[in-house]
Amino acid sequence: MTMVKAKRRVNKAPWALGIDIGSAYSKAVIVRKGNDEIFYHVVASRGDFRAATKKVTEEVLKKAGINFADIASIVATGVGAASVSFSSTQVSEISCVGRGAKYLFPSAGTVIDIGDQASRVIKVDREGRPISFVVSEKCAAGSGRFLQLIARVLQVDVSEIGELSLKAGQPVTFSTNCAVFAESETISRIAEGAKKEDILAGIHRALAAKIVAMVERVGLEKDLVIAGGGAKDIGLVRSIKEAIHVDPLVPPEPQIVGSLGAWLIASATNQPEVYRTETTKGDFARRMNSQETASDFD
Amino acid sequence: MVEKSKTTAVHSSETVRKIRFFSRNIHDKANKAKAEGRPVAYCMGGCAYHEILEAMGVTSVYTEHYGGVCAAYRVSEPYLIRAESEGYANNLCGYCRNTIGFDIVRQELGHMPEDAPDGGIPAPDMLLSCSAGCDHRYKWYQATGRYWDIPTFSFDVMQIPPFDTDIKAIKPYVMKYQVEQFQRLIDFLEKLLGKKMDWDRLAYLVKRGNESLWTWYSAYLLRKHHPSPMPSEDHFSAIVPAVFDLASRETLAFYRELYGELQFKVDHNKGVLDQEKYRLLWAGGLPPWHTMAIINYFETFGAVFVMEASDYGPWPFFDVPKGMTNPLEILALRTWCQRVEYWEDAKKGCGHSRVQRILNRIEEYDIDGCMMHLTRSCRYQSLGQIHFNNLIQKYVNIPLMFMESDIVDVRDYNEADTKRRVDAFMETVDSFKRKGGRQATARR
Repeated sequence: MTMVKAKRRVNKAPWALGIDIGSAYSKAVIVRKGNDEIFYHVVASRGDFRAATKKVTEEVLKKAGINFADIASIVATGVGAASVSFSSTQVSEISCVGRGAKYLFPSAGTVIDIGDQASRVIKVDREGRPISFVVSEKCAAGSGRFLQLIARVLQVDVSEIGELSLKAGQPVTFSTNCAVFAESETISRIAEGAKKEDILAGIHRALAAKIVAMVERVGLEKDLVIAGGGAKDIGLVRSIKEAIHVDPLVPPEPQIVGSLGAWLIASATNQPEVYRTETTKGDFARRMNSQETASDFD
Repeated sequence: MVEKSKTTAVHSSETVRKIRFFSRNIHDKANKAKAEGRPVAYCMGGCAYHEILEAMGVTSVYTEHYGGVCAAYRVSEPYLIRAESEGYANNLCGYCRNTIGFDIVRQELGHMPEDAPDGGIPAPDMLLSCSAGCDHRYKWYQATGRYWDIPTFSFDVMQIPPFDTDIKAIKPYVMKYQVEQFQRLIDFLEKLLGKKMDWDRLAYLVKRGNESLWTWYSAYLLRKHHPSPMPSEDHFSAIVPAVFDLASRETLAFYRELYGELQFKVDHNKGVLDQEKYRLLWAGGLPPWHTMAIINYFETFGAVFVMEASDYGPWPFFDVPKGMTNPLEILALRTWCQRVEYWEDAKKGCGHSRVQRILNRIEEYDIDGCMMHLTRSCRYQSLGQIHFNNLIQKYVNIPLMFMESDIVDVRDYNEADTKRRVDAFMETVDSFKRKGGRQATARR
């Protein structure tokens, strides 16, 4: 499972690893030196970030055909970044997603990242660094978790909700901006006989409205890229497109954009001095050889 | 056993490190006054009536101060929950919920809660509400009054004049109104306490209060220095004497000592950090008293909050006109000067006093990035922050981040999320700085 792209070559360093430990899914990316072939792996985090880190790293190393000892630099991002004990640097999702999106789409000016815990809108500069950003409020109604809640109520697999919502005839209008209330409102609408596809289309519109409001706060600069697990939902992408009147660019695997950005930073060619590194190079080397690290990969 | 991480800030200034004892002393004085049968009043900050209370022998207990102290000790939660169980909404002011909850718990126990920081605050003999700042203040003490059979007094304080008014024409009327308000308060206290105002003492206290405020103001001008000698985490402690104990001699001594320390640091080029890479402005919102250590987190990037543009700050100099001897007029003039400090600049500039203060300080303090603390329960400070940001960007292109949390309620705070935002913000600041820093985007 590889994804090939060849926009520009940034991997001047030896092998690097980017890891994004999200609340729902963990992702790891390695890019082959020379032909920009992207190796990646995605696993469900299932609340155990340490196990997810181990699994996703093992799998991506297998796909790249290299050993852990071949990795010279690692950057971790995501809510569980601290669980990546062998990483020398933790970087925010905002920094990583911006770079990842810019790498895939050099014309990117604004990136929407729809994650499980939060949505983010990031305006990026020529290098993919954030110029301005906004993160959704501490509320499930602005994140991918909102869709999961509703999918569960409707007894639909979350991977199906995009296709299903495209069949909507009369999208339901939700009267609330709260995920908890929307859940109970969904139940009421089911009782009233509303179709699943109409409910899902209504949910997409509500979520799109919140995301577009965030885009307006930051100020849209084209091109618009949509990344994160939420971008796999074609119904949501369509709702955003209709609300914002712009054709967004969506990567073939939007979930790995953050880990790709982490890899870009790990590859060291554009790692800014500003990052706080939790360990010095010496500490990093010691950790690489420590029993703790070894037990993760033996 | 998991080690408990430090949530209070590490201070940079030696003088500011004494604030914990200063704050404790304020509450000790109140508890002693209560025990000795002297009158104690619940009060609100920013009302300019502190010297009047002192001159009348009333010991003030600033309930917002105590809310901050409870939050800093991380003991607020049971009080907040107790207030919410009485039906107060969880998005109501954190100070308000904390105090109402604390009052109820103390009343139900029949004694001070054992974990009450600073030995707790005494039950008041009167409630002195005030309109300065936010709209909910009247309702707060009205609600508090339901639990006590004690007098409540509503005191009105002038607001920033609208921009379509002739400021010179309205000034005499506003001043007259403010003096009347002070006089109303004195009448209320004289009747309640059965004693007369000591006008000579009031005049003396007002004079000392002015000197404290001006010393504080002068000290902060030193923060323009590169590297800055004092950060915002110190500022939010340094406000305590002026805002909650203005008239005392200890307050004046504190600001003189602070001035001396900052002057020494400027003279010897000693900054908060050895290498000050970025200069930040605390551009709005009250601080997260429950986790002041988050301000130190910015310093791990080489960033220092060198100044604030929030309403907790030193009041400006003003000349007391010759012949103005009535202390109430001087108090009114002090309040007027504070309210109109940025009025003229704003009228010529962006049209909004609070935003103008931010714009001026960005230039004066050579700021690389701004941060606003968005607090759900403090709508006075939080409402309009997005508009403020938009207005700022019309005049200067500068990175600005919003930190979301609360002044008191730690349940509204997510440390990991906040730090991730700070990480991204600091990269943005760095990116701007590499490209030449902030840039004016319109004629100022």
